[in-house]
Amino acid sequence: MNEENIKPDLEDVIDAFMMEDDPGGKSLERYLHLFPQFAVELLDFAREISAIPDYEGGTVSDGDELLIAAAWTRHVETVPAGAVDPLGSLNPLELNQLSAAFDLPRQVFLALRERRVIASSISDSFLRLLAERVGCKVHRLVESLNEPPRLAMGVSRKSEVKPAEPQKVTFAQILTDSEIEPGRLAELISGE
Amino acid sequence: MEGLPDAEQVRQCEVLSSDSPEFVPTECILYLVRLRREHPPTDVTFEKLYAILLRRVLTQLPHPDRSGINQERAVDVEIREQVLEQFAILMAKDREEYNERLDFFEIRFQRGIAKLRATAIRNAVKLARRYTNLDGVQASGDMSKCEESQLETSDPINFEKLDEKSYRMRYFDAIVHLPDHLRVVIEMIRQGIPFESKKPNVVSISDTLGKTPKTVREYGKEAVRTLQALLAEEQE
Repeated sequence: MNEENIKPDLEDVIDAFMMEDDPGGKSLERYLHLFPQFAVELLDFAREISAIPDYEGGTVSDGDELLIAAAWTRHVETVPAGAVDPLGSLNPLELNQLSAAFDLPRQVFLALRERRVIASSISDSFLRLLAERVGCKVHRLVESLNEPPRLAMGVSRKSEVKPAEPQKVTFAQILTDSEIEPGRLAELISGE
Repeated sequence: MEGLPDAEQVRQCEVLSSDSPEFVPTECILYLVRLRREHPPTDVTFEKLYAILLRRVLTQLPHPDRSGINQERAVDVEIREQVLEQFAILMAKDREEYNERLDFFEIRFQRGIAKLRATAIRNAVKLARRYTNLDGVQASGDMSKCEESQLETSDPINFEKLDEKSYRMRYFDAIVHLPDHLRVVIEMIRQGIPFESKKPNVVSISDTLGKTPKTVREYGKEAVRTLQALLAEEQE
């Protein structure tokens, strides 16, 4: 563990100690010297590590099986973040709110929702602000944007000609098509 | 293991005894469960592997009926429930979004559980202490001058006997009931750390706790007296 210039967090210190080859003796003394404020937790943890062999042959009761079943029920109630499309789930009102917040035409966010934008052409700062607005992590937003484009909602399907698969374009192109004035466009692309 | 059919994966993971040649390390089971972290609840193998994993957690915890007299120890019940809950929370957070803290468990599972156990024991004992009076433990009186001097040079609690499992379990059961400031001193004595040291690179109890050598020696005496009384009480 690099002990320099780090404001120690108890969890991080204990996790690092957990990975020591020999979590006793000299390692323990070194951690006590570096992190005396965590002496209680370090010593308790070192004692519990030494007790590990005493738990060999542990058993599970019928009552434990009920606890396990309850834990499973709660576990699968958690919705994986990957199951939620951060932009796809936005309703028209929320799209309007985004448009107002960023002072950009609604069609920009429609293009983003339809994944017609090349994610790597969007500045980090814009992605960060957008992720914050829709309440998700940046990497999750990027993952979603990198998925294949989807057909626009409400597109008429009465044509006899199969619609062409939408192509992804750069963010600059989307902004140009939305008639954003050049100065503002440059700012949005550069991220300033 | 990943390439095996689901039913075979489950069968092999169900082996609970580490003495068995078919025993699958818990780190592997955790890895298999995390591979399915975004799977729906209808995935039967996911459910079975999750249950097997939690059974492995429970085997690393004090069993409430370990006294063998069919009387549950309230503290052990509390520890068991707390650790299981904390581990389940880590797993749920991982299902929601990849949780790096579980990576440590994939490398050293037993130590990860030991970490949760240490915290749960501290919390459970503090909770129990609200309902019991440690002052009720009759300390064995003041130490003689001879015993005081032996505090630093010999083994006041017979730490050598900790190699014996039965004594070790009694010691561990007793020591968790000491207040933090006494427990930390007795554990440092057990680790052979001196009360004080003039050398800057030598860890000492007084430097670690930020107390004078005289104060930590007093703590040490009180810790030894109280622990001896607790061990005597356990024996009765």
